[in-house]
Amino acid sequence: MFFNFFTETKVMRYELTEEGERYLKEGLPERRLVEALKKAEDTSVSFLKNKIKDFAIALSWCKKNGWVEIRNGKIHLIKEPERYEIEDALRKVHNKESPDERLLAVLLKRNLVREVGEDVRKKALEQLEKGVKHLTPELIKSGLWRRVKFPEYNIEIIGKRAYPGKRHVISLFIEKIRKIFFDMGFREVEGPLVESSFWNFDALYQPQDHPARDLADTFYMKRPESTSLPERELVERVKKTHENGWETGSTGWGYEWDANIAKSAVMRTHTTAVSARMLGKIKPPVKLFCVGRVFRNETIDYKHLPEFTQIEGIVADERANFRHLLGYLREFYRRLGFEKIRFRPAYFPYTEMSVEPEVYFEERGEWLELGGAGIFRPEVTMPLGIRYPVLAWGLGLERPIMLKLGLNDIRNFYYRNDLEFLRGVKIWL
Amino acid sequence: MAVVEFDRKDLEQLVGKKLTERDYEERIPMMGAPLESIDEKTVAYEIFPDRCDMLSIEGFARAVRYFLGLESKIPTYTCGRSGVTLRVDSSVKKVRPCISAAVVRNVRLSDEFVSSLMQVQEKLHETLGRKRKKVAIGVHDFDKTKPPFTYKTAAPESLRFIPLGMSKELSLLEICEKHEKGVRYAGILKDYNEWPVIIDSAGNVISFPPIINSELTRVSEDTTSLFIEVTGTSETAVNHVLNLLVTSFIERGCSVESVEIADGNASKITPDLTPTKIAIDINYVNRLLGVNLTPTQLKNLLIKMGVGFDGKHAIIPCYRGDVMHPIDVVEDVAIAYGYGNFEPEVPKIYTTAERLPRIEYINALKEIMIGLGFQEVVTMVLSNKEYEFERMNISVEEACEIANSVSSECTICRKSILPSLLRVLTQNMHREFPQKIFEIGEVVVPDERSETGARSFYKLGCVISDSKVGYESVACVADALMRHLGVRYTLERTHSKTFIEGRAAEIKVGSATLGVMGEVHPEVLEKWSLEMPVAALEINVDSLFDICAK
Repeated sequence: MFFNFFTETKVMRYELTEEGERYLKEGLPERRLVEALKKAEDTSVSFLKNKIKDFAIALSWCKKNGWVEIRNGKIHLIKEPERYEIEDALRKVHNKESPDERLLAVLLKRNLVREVGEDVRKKALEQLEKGVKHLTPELIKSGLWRRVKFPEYNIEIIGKRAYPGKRHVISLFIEKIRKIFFDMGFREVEGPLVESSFWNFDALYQPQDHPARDLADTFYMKRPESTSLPERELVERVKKTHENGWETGSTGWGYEWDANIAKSAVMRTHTTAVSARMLGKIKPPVKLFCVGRVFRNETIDYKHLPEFTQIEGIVADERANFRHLLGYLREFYRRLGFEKIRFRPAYFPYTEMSVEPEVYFEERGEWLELGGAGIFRPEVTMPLGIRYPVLAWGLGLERPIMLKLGLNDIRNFYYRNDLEFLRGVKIWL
Repeated sequence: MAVVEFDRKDLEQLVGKKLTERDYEERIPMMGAPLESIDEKTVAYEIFPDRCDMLSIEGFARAVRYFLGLESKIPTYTCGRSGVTLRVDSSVKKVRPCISAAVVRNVRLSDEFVSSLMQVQEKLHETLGRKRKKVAIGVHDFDKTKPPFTYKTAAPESLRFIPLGMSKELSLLEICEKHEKGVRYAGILKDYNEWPVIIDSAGNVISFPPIINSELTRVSEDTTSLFIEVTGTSETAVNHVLNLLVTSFIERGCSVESVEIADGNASKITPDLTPTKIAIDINYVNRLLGVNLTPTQLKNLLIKMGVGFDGKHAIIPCYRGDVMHPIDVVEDVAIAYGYGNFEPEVPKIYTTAERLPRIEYINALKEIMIGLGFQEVVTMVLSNKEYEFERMNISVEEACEIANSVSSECTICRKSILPSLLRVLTQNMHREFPQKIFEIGEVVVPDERSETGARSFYKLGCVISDSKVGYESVACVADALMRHLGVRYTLERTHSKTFIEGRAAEIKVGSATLGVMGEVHPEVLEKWSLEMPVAALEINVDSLFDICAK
């Protein structure tokens, strides 16, 4: 270290700084400005300022070289350079060749190249003479930093705004919810986006003339036109349950069930279709959840999108009861950040008791309905081979996010991905 | 969703008690009817599809009366005999087979009654009636008719009558073409050659269900007796709707008389206002609700819902069409108990969390992409042929297609993520560059081997847009992903028209193609109205996952 301090290194080498590297790749700022001026219809400073990266640098060198002039806020190209010798010089340094002394001086001055392996002490002393802004490797290696007084900075200046790569707010919230379910001991399940009416509706005891199955609400597929039904015994049980209640103790809906209607393919309208598929495969006690995209035949406006994300949790246990459902709801929403919850009667075709939880939004000072819940009807569970209560609850993902972020246009999600919004949105909801 | 508006004064008169704001805003909604709006004169509630008996103000008032504890016995309704017969001709069996009817006496048509009658008809048509397809209601001035009646079919041009609201005779066909109701509901009859009508003994058409009544039997302020007919495709539904209507009239002080429906073997007398019984095991109730009610407590709770209990059975009044299973009675108990009075409990059910490996894998990929400085976007699965194929410079391929979309933007399922990402760039041309975005999202392809005829899986797409980007801008991303997943890959030149010729490659693992990347062709950029160069990369995540899982 000290040896170095007194030694002079005669061999000079140069290498490109990061800025130099970048210019070599992207072109010099002055070149980019000249080229923009040749093409641009609008040559005003105010317009080009945002259009050209490193605009200030570009303009000052163009002016210094006498290539442009500014009149009335517009930049005029008065002389187009034949060649950009600075670029040639950069390339030479890059190729480890020696550029012309004059150009090298310019490169050094512009901080596009730096010397390496030079006399550290000499360089450091030079820096000291000039006054020191940045701590440099030379100052550290020579130990001369001890003699340096670093001028104060304006700490209000934060530099160029940085945009980190990050998750979309929807995906952040999905992760938050997945974590809550995992913490509560739930297993994640998934299912297909194109679904049969059988699993989307029939297995959930929705009669075949139910309004939710209307063309106006559900996307029906032209391709695939039809799906295959599951095993015959299951289909038969569902059919009978619809028609006369089968062994469920229900009267059924009292109509003739049509297998062809059940075969029609739809874009799944709720994640309950996934729950229905799972119900046939499980043994209690089981706790499952699903997060997935669902689809409704809606025209796009600030309140409606044809697709959104639904979350659903189910608990199947021999002893499960209504108080447990309310307990899970309270626990789930508490973990989601809502301390206060209350419950209202609701209606869903496939649950009885049906509940609508309302949570208290501290930010807004009001109770808001958030999601739905219930215990699956025996007409749903028994044909699937389950003879104990199955608790279920679900909610749309977008509403709580919108409420938390104070958004009132659902098109902010999926339909528009405004980068300014996404780059600016907070990551902790 | 049915929202019904009630006149507060009329409602309170029918309830027989002055209702407080707290009753309206807090107590009544807990009966299972969310408050939609309230002002000094009117109040509106949402009525759930299972409680059609609350669609009428009379029925709603009845439910409130019980729920607020103003009644201690279940409602019983009596029904005299009118002696009127309605003969059902077998010709209706194919078109609209079911009918029920009643005569209502002592009618005093106050303004409140008329507006309530119109509202309940409309709401029943919309809900239970499935827009009149399943059930349609006709209300007539009984004294203007000449019983007995016949329910039969007629050829569309064979019969003429003056439809309600018009002044001249039209044929059935003309009604369907010209009358406002005809135009709206003719679709229900379009598949049939003969259409249903009800005619009286004088040969007058009194009703053309489910379209319109005749002007002849129009109800006026002088009307004192009504003839109600309910037609439809479901026996249960027409009987239920008739019960809903006539019990509402009885609540208004009218009396009801039955009609004999002469239909061969299926003859019946309607309405049938006797309650039904359903067996209830109190242990079942207690077990499901997690409470410990005595039979007396259970009885006292059920009466708040207008339901009786004899120790073994629940006694369900005739207007409740929703009770299919004992579970429906259990819900009534829960509502009467008060959802707010249950003590929520998280049971100790031991299960372990299980993650889906594929989703965890996707999260690992996201982490790499974010580390490389990419902003995640989340876009729609639904797209259209223009976006997916035309704008990407590729010929139209087989895709999962929607038959009935109301939006021209959403007609197929995407097969690729890249069109979604280019669309995001188009929407962000005024935002700061460089723009580096990615999405790992689902795509759907037709798949005949799959049970649903389609298969959804995940793809990763990423695009970089800046004044200068090139093939290498994404090649290094693909390389970073592959290296960090420990997957050895090769690159092979590809000639997709989406990319500039000579600047695109397929990413291969062994002989399988996992993805594609390159500099997006200016023609594609032009089609998306993009002005900055774009480099793009897409990888099949499910295939990659399968390779990594092996």
